[in-house]
Amino acid sequence: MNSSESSQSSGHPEAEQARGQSPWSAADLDESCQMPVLYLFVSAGFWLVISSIFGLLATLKLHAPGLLADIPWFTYGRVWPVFWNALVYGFAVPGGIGVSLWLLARLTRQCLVLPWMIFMGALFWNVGILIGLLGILSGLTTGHAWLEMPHYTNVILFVCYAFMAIPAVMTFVWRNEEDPYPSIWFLFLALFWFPWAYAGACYLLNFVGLRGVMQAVADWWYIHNLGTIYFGLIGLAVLFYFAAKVAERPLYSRYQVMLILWLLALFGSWGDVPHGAPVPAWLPNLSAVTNLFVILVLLVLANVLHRTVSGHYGSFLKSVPYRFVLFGGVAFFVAGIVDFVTAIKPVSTIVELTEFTQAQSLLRVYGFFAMTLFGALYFIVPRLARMEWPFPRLISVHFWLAALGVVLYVVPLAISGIVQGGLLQQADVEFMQAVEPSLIYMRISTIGDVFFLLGHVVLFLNLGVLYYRYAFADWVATIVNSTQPTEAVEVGA
Amino acid sequence: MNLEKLFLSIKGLGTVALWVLVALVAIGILVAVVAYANRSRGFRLFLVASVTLGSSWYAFLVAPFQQVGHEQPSVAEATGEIYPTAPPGQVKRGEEVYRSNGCVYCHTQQVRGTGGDIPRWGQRRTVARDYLYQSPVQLGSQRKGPDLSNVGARRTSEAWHLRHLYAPEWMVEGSTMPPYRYLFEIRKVVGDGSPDALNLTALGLKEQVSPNGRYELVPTEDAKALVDYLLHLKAEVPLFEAPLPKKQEKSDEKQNKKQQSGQQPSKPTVNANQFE
Repeated sequence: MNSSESSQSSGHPEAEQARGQSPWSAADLDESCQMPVLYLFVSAGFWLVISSIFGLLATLKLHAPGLLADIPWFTYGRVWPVFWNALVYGFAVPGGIGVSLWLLARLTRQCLVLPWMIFMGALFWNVGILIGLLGILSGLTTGHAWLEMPHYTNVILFVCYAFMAIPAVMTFVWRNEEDPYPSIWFLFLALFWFPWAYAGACYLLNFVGLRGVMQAVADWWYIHNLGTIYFGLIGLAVLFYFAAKVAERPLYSRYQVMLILWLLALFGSWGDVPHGAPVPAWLPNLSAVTNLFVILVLLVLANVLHRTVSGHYGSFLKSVPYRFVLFGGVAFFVAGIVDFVTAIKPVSTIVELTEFTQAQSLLRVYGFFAMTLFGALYFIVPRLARMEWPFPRLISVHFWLAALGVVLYVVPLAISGIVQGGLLQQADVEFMQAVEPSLIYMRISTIGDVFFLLGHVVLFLNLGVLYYRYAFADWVATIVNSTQPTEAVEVGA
Repeated sequence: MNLEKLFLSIKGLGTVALWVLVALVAIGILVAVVAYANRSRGFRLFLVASVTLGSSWYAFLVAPFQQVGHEQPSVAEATGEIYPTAPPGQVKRGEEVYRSNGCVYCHTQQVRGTGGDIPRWGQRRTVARDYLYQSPVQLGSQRKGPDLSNVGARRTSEAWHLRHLYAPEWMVEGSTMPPYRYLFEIRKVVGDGSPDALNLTALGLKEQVSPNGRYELVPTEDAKALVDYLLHLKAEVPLFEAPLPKKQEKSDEKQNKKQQSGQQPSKPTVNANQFE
């Protein structure tokens, strides 16, 4: 067994146990993931840059409504969904798949099955995203939140997902570890959760065409299943992996981890129908009550994490990837508490239908999930590619840009929502009077968008150069050499 | 022997028997599956997850669909007025323009019973029945701009909407709405000019667009359709499940107006058949 690899995973006692049973070393496992996972990461990084360019453009339009307004492709109502769809389907979902694949291979001690199939899936997934985003820009949006891409891209994305997920499931089934590390159960569930929710919602909304307000209900159901469950499952799997790794001791309790899984799956999937929505009243109430129960997830999670990491919190700060994960973990708690509070009717009456909802979504999707993913990505990629990051110092730069970005985006928008929502409670306040005081906070959040963009450029610079070195450098060198009329080549031939 | 007749004669019994049979088969399958699942942890996880997702699917999609999915328009008893009605083609086209340009990201179309919504934006709260003929339903989740459920009742002037689309900040001071100038065209006046042309003098655009009066500013078909759609957005007919709030002077005025124009005020519909 490779000595450098064993030192890497020494902090992960449960992974150690399995060593004897698997014919594969960590290096073998990494090699099997190398090609598809690195490609997934580099393309995710690309879409992240695209996403934040559009996000910045959208927020700049709040400063200058006339900006690029004469070009239909860049009107606010098209730029904004491109920002969000590129973030969710360009970065978060494939990035999550990439991390899942690596963790699956590592923790089941089984080489990834059919990496080429995954690679093809990832390749055409990106084609699907491109078609979808161009569709939105050209005005073919479906008008359903989080599912704006035209209906034919739903088919492309679903098939491509199957191409990536089937080998993952096969890897799991052929695992070399009968009782794998608990993260695996989260990842396994997530593998199924996305296609179920996605196919169900797309089928109902874009192919059957539900009648009336049922469309909105189906949409809320999907958003909640993707945002809370799918991202939650993968993010928590990463969190558990790193918690034990950083603390260099086993998880406090595997049973409690499984309890978290079931609590999340049971209570997390019940939609978040806003209280004032024009639907039968039991629907938002049911959804609010189950949202309140999600606090149980937080309580058990806090117990497990604290008892696992207690005394080793300082170790999280030692390395930048761990810092990302720590930030993601904290954001998960904050987002959970915010969800809990806004499930209460008097609170939700004020903040629903304002910028607050946007702050809430971003906190979950970016503050928790994307940050956790960044941590995992910075940790995984050098191991996969077997080379160091080209610009190691930029990792820390990215951390600060991203962390400050989240704070500067979420906090002002949340304040803006509370201010606007509070003013609108008074019947005699004109709408414009309520918008004016909240506008300044919306504009402050632009700084957050700028930070996101810079951070993503930094990330993509690192990823792109590394991927070039990994995938093309040899190839380019060969071509350059072969174009030079050297005698050596002729002699060799 | 006519089986069908026999079945019909014991219809109640037959239905019960059928359900018992279905239940038995389901239990059998479940037992078999659980027996198999005990052998494989992954499969057990898969199974319980399907039940979890299935239950939320049932509660959030099937159950509400059974309740409101087959709702029919209401018919006012006094006048026979039907609400809502299928929108005319031009309005449908306007809805497409609304969807395609993402108006929903800043404008909601839902009046809640709370939060000062009713006095500001509507006569009553909006309910599921109001959206029967909308597709996609554009409820929206943020209010960067005002709610539009009743914009057709609030702003009744077509000219106002066209001008507002062309240059929002001129009609509403401090507006952050982007201008939709690409829904208009500036073209040379031919003959008497287009009847749709916007009044440039009123817009203060005379100097910019056409100092010599040779050019005119004409809304495209899309712009006209969008305005027709906006004017069509009215959720003010009282419904059984959403009557007009009682102490509302505005609604009284409205009814007076209708009476003046020769219409009977529409009463809240109390038609039990529509509310199964």
